[in-house]
Parts: sequence; structure tokens; C-alpha cells
Amino acid sequence: MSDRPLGFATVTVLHAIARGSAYGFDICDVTELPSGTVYPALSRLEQTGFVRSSWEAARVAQREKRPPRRYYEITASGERALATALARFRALEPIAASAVVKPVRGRS
Amino acid sequence: MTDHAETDRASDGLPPRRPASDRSRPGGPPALCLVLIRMVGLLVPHDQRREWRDEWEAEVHHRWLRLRRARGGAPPSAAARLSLLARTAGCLPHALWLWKEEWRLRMLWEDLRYAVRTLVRRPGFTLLASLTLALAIGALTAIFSIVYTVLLKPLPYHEPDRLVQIWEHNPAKGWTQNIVAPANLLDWRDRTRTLAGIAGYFATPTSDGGGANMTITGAGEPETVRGLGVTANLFDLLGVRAARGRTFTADDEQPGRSAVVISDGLWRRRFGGRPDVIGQTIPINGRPREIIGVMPPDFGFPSHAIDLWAGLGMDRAQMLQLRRPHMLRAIARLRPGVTLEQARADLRGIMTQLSQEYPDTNKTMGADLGPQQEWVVGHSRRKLLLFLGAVSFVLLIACTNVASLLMVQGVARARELAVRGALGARRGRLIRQLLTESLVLSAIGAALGLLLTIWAVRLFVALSPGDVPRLDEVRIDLPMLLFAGGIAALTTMLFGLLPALQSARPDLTQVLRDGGRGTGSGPRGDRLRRTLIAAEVALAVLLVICAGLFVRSFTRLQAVSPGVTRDRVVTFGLSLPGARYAGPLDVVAFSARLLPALGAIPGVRGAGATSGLPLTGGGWSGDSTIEGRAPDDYILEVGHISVSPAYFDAVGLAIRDGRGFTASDTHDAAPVVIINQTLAARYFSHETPIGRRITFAKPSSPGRWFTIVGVVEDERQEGLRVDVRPRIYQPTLQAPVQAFSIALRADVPAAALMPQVRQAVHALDPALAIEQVRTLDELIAASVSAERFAMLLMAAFAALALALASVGIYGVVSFTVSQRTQEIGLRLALGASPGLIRRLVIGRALQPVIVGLIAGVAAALAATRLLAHQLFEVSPTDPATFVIVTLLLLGVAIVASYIPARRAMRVDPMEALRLD
Repeated sequence: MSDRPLGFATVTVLHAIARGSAYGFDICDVTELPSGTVYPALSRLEQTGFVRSSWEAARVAQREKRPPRRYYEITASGERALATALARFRALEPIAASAVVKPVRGRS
Repeated sequence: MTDHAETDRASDGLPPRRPASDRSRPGGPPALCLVLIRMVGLLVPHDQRREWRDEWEAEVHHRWLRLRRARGGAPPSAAARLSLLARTAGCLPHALWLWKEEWRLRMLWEDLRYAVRTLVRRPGFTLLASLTLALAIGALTAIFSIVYTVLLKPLPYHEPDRLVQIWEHNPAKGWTQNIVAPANLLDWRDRTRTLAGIAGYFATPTSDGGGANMTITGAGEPETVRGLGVTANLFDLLGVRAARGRTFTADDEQPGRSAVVISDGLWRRRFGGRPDVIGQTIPINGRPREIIGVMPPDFGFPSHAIDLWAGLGMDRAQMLQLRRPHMLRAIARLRPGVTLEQARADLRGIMTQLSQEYPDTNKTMGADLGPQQEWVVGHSRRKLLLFLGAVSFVLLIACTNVASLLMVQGVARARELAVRGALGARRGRLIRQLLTESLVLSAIGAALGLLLTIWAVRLFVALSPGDVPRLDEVRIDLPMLLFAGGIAALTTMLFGLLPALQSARPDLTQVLRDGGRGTGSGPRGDRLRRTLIAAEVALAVLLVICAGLFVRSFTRLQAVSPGVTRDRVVTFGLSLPGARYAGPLDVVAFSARLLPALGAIPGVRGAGATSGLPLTGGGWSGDSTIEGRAPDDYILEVGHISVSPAYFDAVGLAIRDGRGFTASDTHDAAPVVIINQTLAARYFSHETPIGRRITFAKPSSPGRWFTIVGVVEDERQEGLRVDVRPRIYQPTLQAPVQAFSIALRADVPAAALMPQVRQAVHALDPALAIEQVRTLDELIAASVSAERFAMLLMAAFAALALALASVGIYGVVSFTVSQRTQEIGLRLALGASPGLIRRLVIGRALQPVIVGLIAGVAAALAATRLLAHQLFEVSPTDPATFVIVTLLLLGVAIVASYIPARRAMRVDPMEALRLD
């Protein structure tokens, strides 16, 4: 499974995590992808070991009177996978530039 | 977002426990979001559910707080609520994804491991069940590959669905799909408005793939190949280009042109695949021919048996002269947008014009057309579908068998299942487990079966007598295998479900009380097993009755006398090339030297020549008139054959009246004929035909008169199934033919004879190829080979069905006996005799068998009508077959249940009662 190249949505999510977004809904905001896409991607990234997740400390949550959130961090192998995937996308750039590409906007 | 940096990380990866009050805080997020998460959470695998809910709830809470904060503590707007709900809805795809992953990883892996372990622990059962499935799946896939290629796959030409075959019919002569006259074909081509082109090719019996034998000489050994004369436009009409060189153009039809196009096979075989073959000239039938093109490897027309294509050997002017002899097949292409009906109407219109223009030849002649694919494969459809039906039945029987075996296994494992259930396994989990086992079984079965398929298809193609077209196109390709394998696996799964549902109903207390003989051995399980047996028997009866009918039909066919003697007659064919034997006298001179030379070979008792060997459908036919009869009293379609004087004696046909031919019936003597008994009986019922005169034309335009000098015994010309037709024999010396067959009656076997025969032929002409050496017995056998093949295949399927059914009965009865050991022991202890026990066991075993027999016979009575046209002189409801098959199955059932019944008789009462 991990030898298959990552899909665009998954790379976008991984990229968002690498850039500092840590919580599921925040990743949805940043990537403009629907939550139904982001969450399976997160689970898959965790399964393949490209990200790991932990829980917010209880006292932070208590202070804000809400339950603790789960946050995600990129791992070393995730960094490598991201670099590979971005390189792959960059290779597409000349092709994409010559084609008429309709911009696609995701829901948030 | 860096606020997590200051948080403590939970070391165990689980969220910290939080007070219950957190979850239903007043002013918290909309209840709908939380309910949604609750509900959807049920889909998430158990061990991830809590974490999953916590994560989603926390995100919703957090977002809700942020929205409120943004509005200074006031409740967020409706739009914001809706957008939050939409985002929360994303939990459903997430849950489904996790569920799918769980299913994929857990179920497949764990259940698979467990299933394999279980199956390995029961090697006998596993082997039996997977072999059963392998046989059935293999046979089904093989037959399906063949049916798919022959019936469903489009013909390998350009836009094959627009290709049509045109034929002539003449109700007055009983012609249905007759070959066409060259002049008619040209008129159609000139006048049609619906067809984009019409091509003609010489009609030959398609049983050997079409075409005629041609001899290639020149460098290397003389080689006999199959060649076909075609009109120049054929290749363009089919939309196929040459792989090398070119195909024919209109120029190639000019007189004196000699172009040939060769097949890829011939190119590789004879010319070593050399590219410089284009433009080479090779002698074919003694005439130089220029190779102008090589066709691609996958091209074949009308079949792959054809090695080369040549012109028809006549130009337009010559073809227009030929309106009476019918000798061509016609293929055409519909213009774009034209329907079959429109083309048919167009053709009919042209035929009406022609019947007015040429009343002599075309008055009662009609023409029709149909899809080319249908024309090529239509005649084998019923037979192939019959095979497919039979083999599907075998698969059904195999599935029933495996289902009952699985169920017996399931009952034997009742304790295991009950314990697993008691330890917390849900029913769905147990069903899944049992299903995985049958899946593993069918996977093994399918894998073995596919190996079997490759072998079975090869066997089918090799054994098939050539009556099924397109077999050379059959390939075992991946999509085909996947499709057929998928169907097989699906069927197996369905049948695996039945016993799985039955077994996975564990009731721990009852099972443990019964010492493991609990659940499945109750009345419910017993009923299901007995139903399966009945179904299996019913299917087997149906199949065996069909096979039985085929066997009886074939025996009847074998009993038909061919007229000629079967023993010790060797035949072979010779074609004298027109280039070296131009006139009839050359042919006469050749046979005048050949026949005595052959007769002089030691062991040869008689040597005769004929233009048409028995059972080959050779010779030509036409109208005939007896002298002095009324103008409308003429013989329609009398067959013509030329024979040498010694021929009748060589093949064992007796002269019944008058005399046979002699050496003095030469071309300058008075023209004579011999007629067969059928003609004599039909047209000379009240007088002797000897001395009467006959002409080969209608009474209105009598031609040359021939004197009847003898009446000969009937021989079967068209096949054992076809009634003998009126026939006229002419002496070869008066009606010589270029291509003829020799029949030798000899005391020595063919193998010992042929070297000397070759020597004798080559002493006269070293460039002649000796074709198709066969004994008369082989010829007779070959004429019924299609029937024999169908019979053998059906018999094989029936034998398989019978074997499977008996294994099924045996399995279930021995299981029942082992379940009832205690009861049997008790009965024995109470004084029952072993004989009574045996009757008890067998009697009980036979109940479902008899139900199955009745159902099977009833189904057969309804279904065998479909076979009627395949059977010869056997009624589809032939009572003897029905009775014999019923008794046979009953016998098999008794034997299959006798073995476990004997075991029951020998039960030691003390042992049985002490069992627990």
C-alpha cells in the first residue's frame, strides 16, 4: 500500500500538517478539502506511519471548557514521502502549464 | 496553531478521561451534530470507536466555541450552524473508511488464516471438496471460453456486425440456404442500393474449414495446402489489409492474371517468414502463381484452415454466362444506416427482376440474407448451449455437494462454534468465518480448475470433429478467466452461505448436553441436508437422461447401414492439375494406367475410382428426365457420380439388375448410366429401368440421352442421418473428372499398403500429392464424428454428475449414521436384527433420493424436448432411457448408502451406549 504514490488529497493533507496545521478541522480549513476527504486521508497517513497523532493535554482543554483534541504531526518518513510526492507534482508542471486547466475549488 | 506545543502529550496515545459533564454542556454544540457522531460511531470498529468519537466531538466543540467567541458569546448564525453540520457529516465517510480497512485487514487476514488452518486439519474433506469444485469450475470455464469465442466474440473483421451472407433458395427444389450462381451475384452487385459490396468465394464443404486442396511444388517437397478462390473485392469488403504486400485489386480479375495472397501460417511454414516472398512466383497445381501479399496472423477467411487465396479463375464475361450452375458463397456489407430488412427487400426486388429477365433459370429462385456471424456459427449454437447447460448442471451438482459436505462439517464442528459463540463471537462473525472457509475452498477449486480449463480447452479443440467453427480462435485470456472464475466463485459463495447460516446458530447448552451432536443434527439440519441430496439427485437424473438419449441416438445411427462394406477398403484422393492434364482424354489416359498398376500391388483385390466417396457428400446434382414421360414428370435433383468399372466391386456395392460398367464403356461408345435402387424404386416402380433412356435436363429441353444399363445397391452419400437420394452413376471413361478418389480393397492394412501405392502413383507422376488416406471404416466414423463427440461429452458430464451425486449421498448417509450411533446401538440392544438396521438406514437414505428421482424425471420430461432435433430415431421421452437411468441412479444411491449402512449394522450396542 505504501509503495503506491499518494493521491493529491492525501499529499495536500500531509503538506498542511508539515506546514503546522495539527487538528482535523484546521486542516480542512487550510486545504479547503471536505472533512469526508481529510479524515480518511489522516487515518491512512497514520496507518502508513507518515504522521502520528497524540492528544492535547487535559488542562488546556479544561481551561477552555471543552474536550481535548487530537493533533497530528508529520514523521521523518512522512517528510520523505512528501518530498517525493511534491517532486512528482512539480514534474507535471510543464505539462499542466501547456494544458487548459480549469481551477477546482473544494468545499470547506 | 501552536497551542499544542505547550500541552502534555498523553503517553499512551489515548485521550485523557474527562468528566461526563463535558459532553452535555449547556450552550454546547448543536445536538444534531453530536447525535450524528454517536450514530455513525456504531460503524467504527469497536476498538477504535471511543477514540474516534472523542476526536470528532472535540473538533465540533472547539469549532463551536470559536464561532461563539467570534460573535462575542452569542449563538452562531444558522449558516454557520449548517456549515458545521456539513463538516460533521464528514464523519460518515471517515467511519466507512475505517470500517472498510477493518474488514480488509481483520476479516480477510484473520479469517483466512483460521480458515486455512481448519481446512488443513481436515485434509480429506478439503481435498474432496476442492477437487469437486475444480472439476466443475474447470469444465464450466472451458466450455464458457469456447461458447464465448464461437458465439459471442465478433468476427475478426472490420465492423463485423454489418457483414451479411447472401444465399439462394428454391422451394421447388427444396433448396434452403443454397450456394449462388455467379451471374446472379454480379447482377446483385450491379443493382443493389443497400449493400456496399458483394464478394463471392467458392463454396466447399465447411467441415474441413472450406477451400480445396492445392499442391505447391517448386523448391522443397510438394505440399498440399488449402486454397480458396475469391473475387478480388473480398479483402476490401472485409476491411482487412495485407500485413505485407497487397491484397487483390480489380486488375487481378483480368484473364491471365495469376496473383495469390497467402496466409501468415503458410508464409512462416513454407517460406520461413522471408520478406522477399512478395513478387515470387511459385507453381501451384502446376501453374505459376505470383505471391502478392501475406495476410496478418489473426486473419482467416472463412476459417484459419485456408492457406492461400486466389482468384475465381473467371472474368466478368465468363461469370455472366453462369446462371445455372450454383457454385459460390456470397458475402456482403450493409451500407451505413441500412437495416437487414431493407437489404432483404432490396435483394427480393432484384430477384423479381431477374426472374422476369431469365425465366428459364430464375423463375422459382429466391434470395435471402442474414448476419454473417449467425451464418458462420448459427448451426453450432444449440449444441454449444447444450454443452454449456450440461456443464452448468455439473457445477450446480458440485456446489450442492460441497454445500452438504460443508454442512456435515459444520455439524461436526457444532461444539467449536458453540464455544466460540459463548466466548463472545457474534453470529455474523461466525458466518463470516464459515463463509471465508468456503471462499478458500472455492479459491483452491478455481485455481486448480483454471489449470484444468487450459487442458480441457486444448482437449476440446483437438477432439472436436470440426463441426464447430472458430475453435482456432479460442484463447484463454485473463478477462475470460476472471469472468468465468468469478461466476464460479459466486455460485460457491451462495452455496457456502446455506450451511454457514445453518451451522452458525450455536446454542451452547444444547450442544454441550448433546456431546457435540447438537444443533445441526436436529430436524432442521436434517431436512436441509435431505433437500440438498434430493436436489443433487434431480440434477443428476436430468443430466444422465440427456446423456442417455445421446447414447441411444448414437447407437441407432451406428446401426444404419452405409451400403458399402466397412472392412479393408483404403481410400485416398488425387487431383490432376489442369495445367498438365488439360483435356478429358489426358485424365482418362492417366487412370487407364493408374488403376491396373494399383490392382497389381500384392494384396490388392480391387481398385476403383470415383468422383464421390460415400458419406462425403461429393458429386453434383441437377434435373433429369426419363424418355417418354410427361412434360412435368421429371426428376428433381438427381445426384451424379463418375465411377470406374471396378469401383462397385471394390467398395462392396452389388449390381441388383442389369450389368456394371466395363472397359468397353469408353468415350466413343454409346453413353450409359447405372442408377441406384432409390431412383429405380421411385421412378420405375412398375417397369424395368434397364434399356430405358434418361437425359440430364428438363423435359422441355432434353439433351443427350443415356441408356440405363444397370441398377446398383444404395450407398449413403450425404451422411447416415440423411435418406438416400436418387443417384446416377456414369463411367469415368465417359465422364472423367480432374479430382477423384481411389478405393482399394486389400488384404493388408493401409499402413503396409500405402508405400507401394505412393510408389505406383509417383511412377506415373512424381508431382502428384496423395491426399486424405482413410479407410472406409474411418470415413464412416468421421461422418458421425460430430454426433460421437457430442455423445462422449454429454456422457462425460453425466458420469461426473453421477460420481458427484454418489459422493454426496455417501457423505450425508455416513454422517447420519455416525450421528445416530447411539440410537442404532439402542435398537440393537433392544433386539433389532442387523438386517433391520440396514433396511432402516438405506430406507431413510433413499427417501430424498426418490424425491429427487421424481423431480428429475419430471424435469427431464419437460426439458428433453429441446434435444429433439439432435437425436436420431429416438424420442426425447424414450421410455427405455428414462427407466434405465432411473434404475441406474437408484442403484448408485443404494450402493452409496450401503457402505455406511453396513457400518451401522456392525455397531457394538455396548460401545454405542457407553459413548458419553
